[in-house]
Amino acid sequence: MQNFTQFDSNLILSSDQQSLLITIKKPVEKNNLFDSESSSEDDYLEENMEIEHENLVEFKEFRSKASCKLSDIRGFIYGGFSSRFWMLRKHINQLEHSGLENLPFYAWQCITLQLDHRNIDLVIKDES
Amino acid sequence: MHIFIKFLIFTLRTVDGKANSAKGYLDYVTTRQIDKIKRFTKTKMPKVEKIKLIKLNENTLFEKIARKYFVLKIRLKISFMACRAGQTVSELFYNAILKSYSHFVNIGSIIMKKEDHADDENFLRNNLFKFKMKDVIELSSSVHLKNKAKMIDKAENEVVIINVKSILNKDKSSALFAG
Repeated sequence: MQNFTQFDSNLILSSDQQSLLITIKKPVEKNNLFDSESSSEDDYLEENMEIEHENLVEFKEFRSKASCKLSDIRGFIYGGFSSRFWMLRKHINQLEHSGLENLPFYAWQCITLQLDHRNIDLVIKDES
Repeated sequence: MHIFIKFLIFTLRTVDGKANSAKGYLDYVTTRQIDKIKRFTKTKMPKVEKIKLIKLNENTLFEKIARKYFVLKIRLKISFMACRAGQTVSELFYNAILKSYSHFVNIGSIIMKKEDHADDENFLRNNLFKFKMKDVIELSSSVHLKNKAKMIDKAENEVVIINVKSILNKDKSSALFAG
């Protein structure tokens, strides 16, 4: 089963109103900032490891392969009823009641776009 | 999500999620309406009016479909609530009704006569949130059985009355013949 991407993404209608653009913010590793510099930076690194670790990762916006033309969409399924969500549903049904409190997403946030060659499963949490 | 679904419904012209599934219904409705107008006015409908009518029909239908998808969202949420509470959907509803009923009784909005409903009140207090589907079925079946027994009694009484009447009539007729 394919994993779900946990990154922030945007769903935009293109300027010509012919296609849906899906962009994902993916982490990209920066070049090592202190490679060329001396060992004095080592102490600095140890002290500020967390901050530097954050700085080493940069988020860039990529166009997702799930972007498609509106004319290619053959239909949509609202709710977690497609095959990929079905596996998750089986898993959630086996959880204890305490495990139901912090779920990553819910059925009413799921939608599947059916194209000719593939299905695009989206989880839309915020409507802003 | 709702905005996106609305957008998809309008662009795909769909009723059930499949693209162009609304076409047949819209064609049928518009042709019927145009025919009616033709019969009423006895003139040809201008093209602009036809387009307006088609757009109006599309808007009303797709708005309705979008509302149905919104209801679907609420239904999904309700079923998740029931799952989280470890109940069926009907159990969830029954418990909610009981909870609100006891709340209004406590506030005083619903006045219960203590002499008449003392048992009910105790029952509510003891069994609130413990009410399961099994109990509801048992309760309803017991009420049904009681009603059935009452009906049988009533029917038996009616049969007895009819029999008595028929006997009396027979006596009357025999008395007439004898006379």
